Amino acid sequence: MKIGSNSMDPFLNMVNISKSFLDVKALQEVNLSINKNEIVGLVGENGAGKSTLVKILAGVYKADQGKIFIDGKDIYLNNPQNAKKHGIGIVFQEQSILNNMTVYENLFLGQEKFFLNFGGILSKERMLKEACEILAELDIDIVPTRNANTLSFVQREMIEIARNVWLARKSKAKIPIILLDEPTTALEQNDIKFLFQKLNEIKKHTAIIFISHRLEEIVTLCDRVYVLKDGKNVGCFSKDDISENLLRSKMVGKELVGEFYQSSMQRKAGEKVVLELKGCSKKHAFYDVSFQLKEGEILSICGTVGSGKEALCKAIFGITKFDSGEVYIDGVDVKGSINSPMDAFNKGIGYIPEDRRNEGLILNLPIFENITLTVLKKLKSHGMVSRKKQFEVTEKMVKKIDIRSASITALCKNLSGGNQQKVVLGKWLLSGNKILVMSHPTRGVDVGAKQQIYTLMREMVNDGVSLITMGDSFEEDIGLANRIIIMKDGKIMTIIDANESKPTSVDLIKYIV
Amino acid sequence: MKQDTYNFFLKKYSREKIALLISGKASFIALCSLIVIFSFLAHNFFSLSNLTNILDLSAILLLTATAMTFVLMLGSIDLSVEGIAGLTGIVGALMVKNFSNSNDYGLLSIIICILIGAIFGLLNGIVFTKLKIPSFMTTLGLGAVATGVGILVTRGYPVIITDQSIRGLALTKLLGGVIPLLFVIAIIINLLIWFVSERTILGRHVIAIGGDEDIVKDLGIKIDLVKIIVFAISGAMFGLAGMLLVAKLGAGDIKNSIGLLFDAVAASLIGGIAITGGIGKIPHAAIGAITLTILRNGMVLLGISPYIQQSVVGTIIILTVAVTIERKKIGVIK
Amino acid sequence: MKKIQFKNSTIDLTKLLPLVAVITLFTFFSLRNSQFLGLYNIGNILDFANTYFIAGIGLTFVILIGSIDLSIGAMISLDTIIFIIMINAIGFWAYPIIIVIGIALGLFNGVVLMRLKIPSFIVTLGTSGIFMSLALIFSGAGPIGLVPKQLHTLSFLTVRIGPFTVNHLLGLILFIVFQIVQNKTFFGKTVYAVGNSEVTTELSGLPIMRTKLISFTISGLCTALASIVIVSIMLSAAPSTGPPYMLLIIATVVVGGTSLSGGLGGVYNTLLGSLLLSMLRNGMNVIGVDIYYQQIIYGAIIIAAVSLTLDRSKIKIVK
Repeated sequence: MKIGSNSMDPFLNMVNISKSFLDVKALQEVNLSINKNEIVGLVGENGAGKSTLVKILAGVYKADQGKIFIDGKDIYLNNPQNAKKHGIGIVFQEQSILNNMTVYENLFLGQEKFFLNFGGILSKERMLKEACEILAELDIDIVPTRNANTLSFVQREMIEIARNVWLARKSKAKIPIILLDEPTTALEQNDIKFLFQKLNEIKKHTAIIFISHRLEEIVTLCDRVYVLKDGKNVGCFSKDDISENLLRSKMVGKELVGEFYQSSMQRKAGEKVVLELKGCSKKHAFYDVSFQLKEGEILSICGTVGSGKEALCKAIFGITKFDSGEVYIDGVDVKGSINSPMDAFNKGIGYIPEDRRNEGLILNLPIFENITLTVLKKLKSHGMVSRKKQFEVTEKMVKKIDIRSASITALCKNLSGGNQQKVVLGKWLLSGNKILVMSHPTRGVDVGAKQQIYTLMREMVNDGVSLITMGDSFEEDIGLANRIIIMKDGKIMTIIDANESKPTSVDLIKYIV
Repeated sequence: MKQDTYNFFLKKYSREKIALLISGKASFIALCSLIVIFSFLAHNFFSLSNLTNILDLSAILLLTATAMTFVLMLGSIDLSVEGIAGLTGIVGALMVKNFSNSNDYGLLSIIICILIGAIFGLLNGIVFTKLKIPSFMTTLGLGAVATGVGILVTRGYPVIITDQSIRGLALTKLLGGVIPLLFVIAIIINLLIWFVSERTILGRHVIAIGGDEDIVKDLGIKIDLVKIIVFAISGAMFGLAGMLLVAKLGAGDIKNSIGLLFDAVAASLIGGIAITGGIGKIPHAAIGAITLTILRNGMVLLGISPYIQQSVVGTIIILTVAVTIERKKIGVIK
Repeated sequence: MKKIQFKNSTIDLTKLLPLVAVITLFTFFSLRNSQFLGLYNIGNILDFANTYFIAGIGLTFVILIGSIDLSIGAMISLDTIIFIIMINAIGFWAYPIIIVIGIALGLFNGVVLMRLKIPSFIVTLGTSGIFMSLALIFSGAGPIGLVPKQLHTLSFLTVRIGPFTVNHLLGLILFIVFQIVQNKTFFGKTVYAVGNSEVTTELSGLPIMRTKLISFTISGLCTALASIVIVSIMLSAAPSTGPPYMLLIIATVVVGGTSLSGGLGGVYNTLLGSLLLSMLRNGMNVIGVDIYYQQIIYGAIIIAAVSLTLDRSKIKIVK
């Protein structure tokens, strides 16, 4: 591991940073350092810990362990305001620009106190003047009196960067530290070129940490790159030593043993096509998506931020609508009749959401109410929903998928992540729907429960259910799938057959980045 | 491809664009159209005396609508107008020269009314921010408490005032008998609040909070304090409105304030304020108030039953909200 | 923390606390003034509680799904006026007709909510204006009395046996029916699901819009039934009849323990709330509390009750 060519102490030094959320270790003893006039890249798979690390630096999260040094001093970052005082500013993907205000108002939002005349009156003249100054200094060609809702994405990013630089200056921070979390995801090519041009100019007075999943950008732009995998440092490379291939191999690391994903249980899929999409598109999400889902198959959709896979899955379940294209279920044209999740449900589709606490479960209701949510109509006796039947059905399912809880009347909010996920799975198992879309089915679940869920998924498909999954890592996608769809920037790049032999992560990443 | 991005933005933010455009311009156009329409349909509409009448009728509404608009910009609502105005009306009536007691505090009473209103407003703000009860519930409850106190004070009986200078406030017309003093007072207050919203940190933060409270949370802005102050200000204005009503009607009565809520909300919405907050400017409240008053006045002149007027206004409330609401902000519509 | 584990069972505080409150209040007033326990007085308490309760059932379902209905005051004005006009004109046929109208009004609220997708408090604020307009039009803005020869169509409702009347029987029947609906039907289960987590419920394939529509319709129906009771007691109706009930009915539901954030509480809670409120009202009179303090107390109680039952984890940003 080679550190950069700066021999002096770095301006910013994060040492041994660890952070856990409930039972999941997001970061383990991670180090990162950066100096002035540097753009440092941060790469890793989804869930590797990049966002978490950067949010700790921005004061959004508090590290469980580790120290952060700025200019040699040990600083304590416990909230965003504190971080800003040290000159650290973060620009998120979901931007923090208010649409109902002008550019200059957005620039100084929250810091208006610097522009007061006597009597507490805000001086718009001074705000405008200072806005023009900072925009000119950073060579950003935007008229400050424009309303923010007329700006393009990249312009909004520039304003946020300007805001952070200005604030760092005002706080008398020595060097503004700008954190960019996936800034290029929604940008067009020429906007990206423009952004990089600006960043190269701006870095002269600042230090920039740049997160992206697009390795070609990292390689072009960054002076040094840190690679994270599963919450740990796996490498830090300087510009001369970087290549996309090297980054890829580091991101993906050693392959996990296939048995974890119960590959031995994998059967070849049936012949019947249960779901088919032809030329489906949704503006700003995905374009011309076509594929078939066979009976008894596990189909993984692989792709990083901006690939469009989440949007695709939501459209399949009717949460949003396709703009164009055809959808066939069991050979029957259904497009136009799936306008809501209820419609999709009635057509035999199910959806296991990524956010199980808020979208997959009703936390304040007990297990048996949650599990029977999809089959209430079938549990009637004399026209009323029968609690006895609810209990019977729940007990059976709890046993079958090993939901560990003292009683089925326990509230779901008191269960562990793994058991909660099993309740969600149980709910869909009961429903009898044969096409299930699973978004990150084992996220935030401990290893033991993960394996149980993989086994369950195998059993389900052997019973004729077809699954579309989006996994937490390439390994999971590969390990589980009969076939793998790879998406990038809204289009399907390729469909890999994994029935005979499994591809490796490196094979996949070729198409993604 | 670039065109795509811009189209995306036009679509994504067009609701804001439309709302920004509508608020002010559209309501102004509506106002002018109404004036034209009614002038044609009712021959006594465009007379000097009727126009003076309209300004007179719209004065108090302008005041309450200004307050309501200020609260709406936050993204909240203040349903306590009737309670506070009713209470301060009675207290104010009891303090000036009247038939029920020997007080004669004159103009000081107005100050007291404003103070009482401000205190209730403060309570609204504190309960809202500290107990985290949605503003409509908080102000509904506290408004009821205010009504209760008002009923308590006089056992429900009206207090007739005899103070001529107070009554004079409502009867005076400036500029050769054309523009009512009350209207001028209301406009001045409107301009004052407008100034606050444009040129003070408080005002800018109100608009920011209404724009997107999530974003503002991370920027170190004292959201709770801003909200409490806004409710205190609106309470104060309701308090003033209560006293001015007494000046107009000649008596303090808890029933004076009935109907204020409905009209204040309607006037704000007609003026183009978005119910989700952040969009619109204070002067639009004035346009909305005048428009609503003209609407009612016109309907009266045309002989349309006053009972139907409520329907019309109610329907307008629903439709303006349907157009200006930002559904993305609300997520789940409850 | 609404449920606490005690040994092996779960004690539901939301069901227990209101019950304790009712018993406490009852004891308090009885001890303060023995007149409280008189037959006539108990009958009086039950009368008011019954009215609040019947109207409150509908609002309970609306609040359970997380919405609010601010038009019940205006609906009562309109319903009572239409009912008495019809009783005067066509006697017993008024009953089925007012029920249909009540359902139609509730349905109207629900449809506007569904189609325009704006918050329920705005919808019902607007429709309250429309309903009140109609009430004013039909009544000519004045009270309408019962035509004496039609007295028999209403008098059977107020026949008293002990402290009980036929109206109370109606309340009892509605209690049983709607308890069953709430706890045992598909609709009832969906209501609780929606109120607790609308997103999850929608993603589980359940019919959200239909559930909301039905809830508002029930609100309209119950308001109509409550109006029948009100007219049978007052033997008259006026546009001013309804508005005072708005606050009282919201108080009934909320004080009974049903949470404004949805998904918690129910018909049983509203029953307790109606008893609480009626006892409070009656008791305060009996022990001589100024009637004018009562409004204040109602307002304060509402705020306290909402504060206790609101599930703040559900509302990230309170507007």
